[in-house]
Amino acid sequence: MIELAPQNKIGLSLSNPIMIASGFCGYGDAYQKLFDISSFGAVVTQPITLRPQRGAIQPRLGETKAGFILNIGQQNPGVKKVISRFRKKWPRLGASVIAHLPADEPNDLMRTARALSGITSAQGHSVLVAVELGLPHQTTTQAVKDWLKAIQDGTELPILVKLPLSISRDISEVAVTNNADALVIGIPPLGTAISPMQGELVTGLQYGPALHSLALYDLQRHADFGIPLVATGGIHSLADAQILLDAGALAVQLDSLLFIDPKSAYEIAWNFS
Amino acid sequence: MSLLLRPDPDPGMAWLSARKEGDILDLIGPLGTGFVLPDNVVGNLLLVSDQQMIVPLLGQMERAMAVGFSVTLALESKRATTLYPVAALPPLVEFQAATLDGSRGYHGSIIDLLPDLLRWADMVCTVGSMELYRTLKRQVKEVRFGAYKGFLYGLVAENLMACGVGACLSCTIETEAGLKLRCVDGPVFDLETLQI
Repeated sequence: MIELAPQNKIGLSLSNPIMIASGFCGYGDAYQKLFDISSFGAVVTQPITLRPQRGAIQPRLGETKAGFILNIGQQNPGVKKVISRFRKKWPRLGASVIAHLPADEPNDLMRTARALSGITSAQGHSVLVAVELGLPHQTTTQAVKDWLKAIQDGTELPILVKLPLSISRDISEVAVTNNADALVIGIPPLGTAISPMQGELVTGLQYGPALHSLALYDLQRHADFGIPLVATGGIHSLADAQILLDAGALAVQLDSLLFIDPKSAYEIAWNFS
Repeated sequence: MSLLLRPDPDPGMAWLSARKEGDILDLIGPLGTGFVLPDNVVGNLLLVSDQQMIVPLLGQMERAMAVGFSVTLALESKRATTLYPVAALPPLVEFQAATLDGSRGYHGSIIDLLPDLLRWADMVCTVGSMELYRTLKRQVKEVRFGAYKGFLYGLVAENLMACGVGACLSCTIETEAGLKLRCVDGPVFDLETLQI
């Protein structure tokens, strides 16, 4: 078992170091018809906010060299609807479910975290195993402190902080000193592409295999932090995953591979299960 | 399996066009919601397109004929040589062609032939441009004295899709019930529910 939150009284044990990143499996069930989700150590949900978010206008997708730009703008039906639709589905997935909360107004974050950690099984355990806080590309140390405190006020579940790639060291440090349980490295950089159908520009997160070297570089940058690390970015093969695990990541998250070749993503997870 | 592909600058389509007999393709599907027929009802089915990608209509045509529908296929093309070959159609299908250069059938747009066809039809399935869909919606209101659900269905394929399974939320479309996903809720929609 892999322990991602050794300092947390609940802990976060995964049976498999291969996770699915936020934005790549809906609320956990998007690929159920194609493969067995329970082969993965964990699934991180789409963003969940207190209030419904309509998300970005179209176009939301643009193809780039060996990758794509995606901008959904945090579309989600709000925490109340997410809970009502998925509270019974989540325990049946067979994989641990981690809720992704994008940075938000602290009070809203606290209420969202509280609502999500209130979903319990018949045995009284939380259905969700952790919360992942997604940071914006531009932020301040004070904002990170406020967001972490807000989530900690709402839940005792372990908190993973997902950092943008190449984020400045002081942001990572403040996450650690404010009791983040693990760091996820990292959120892709921003890019712009032309959407071919309408010829419009779409700006969003740049995904693709080229991110692997950026993730590996950032993983090494955080090696001395003394906190569990999860790496994500450009994992398109078993070897890609193994390189990041060998470099110090306790777990990795698959993202763009799910869209490009879902069977290969499943095979990577199956190899570790 | 056969592939019917149009010339397309899209790199993915170019790759697909270059496949040879014997190549192995890794496919996932069937995805989403396609054309359906009403249960226990037969009538007149109108199939309309102003583009070359009419393959989804051919499947609907076969299913409809198998249960007893009368079918009319109305196609528009620039010229006769780019029209779907009528010899490949079942003999009982009524074929209405419109060519912009007048080389076959009606000289002009298929839109000009629609009013009479819409009066005849009990159900319409279409694959084409958003402009065609908007015209169809407007003409249905005019010739059938109102618009209603369950009559006009269209395949919406004008945006990229990344995942095909509802994970990425990149293929949203505005409907009367809010945002829906073309890959899961579509790509075929009751056009009366779309805000186009």
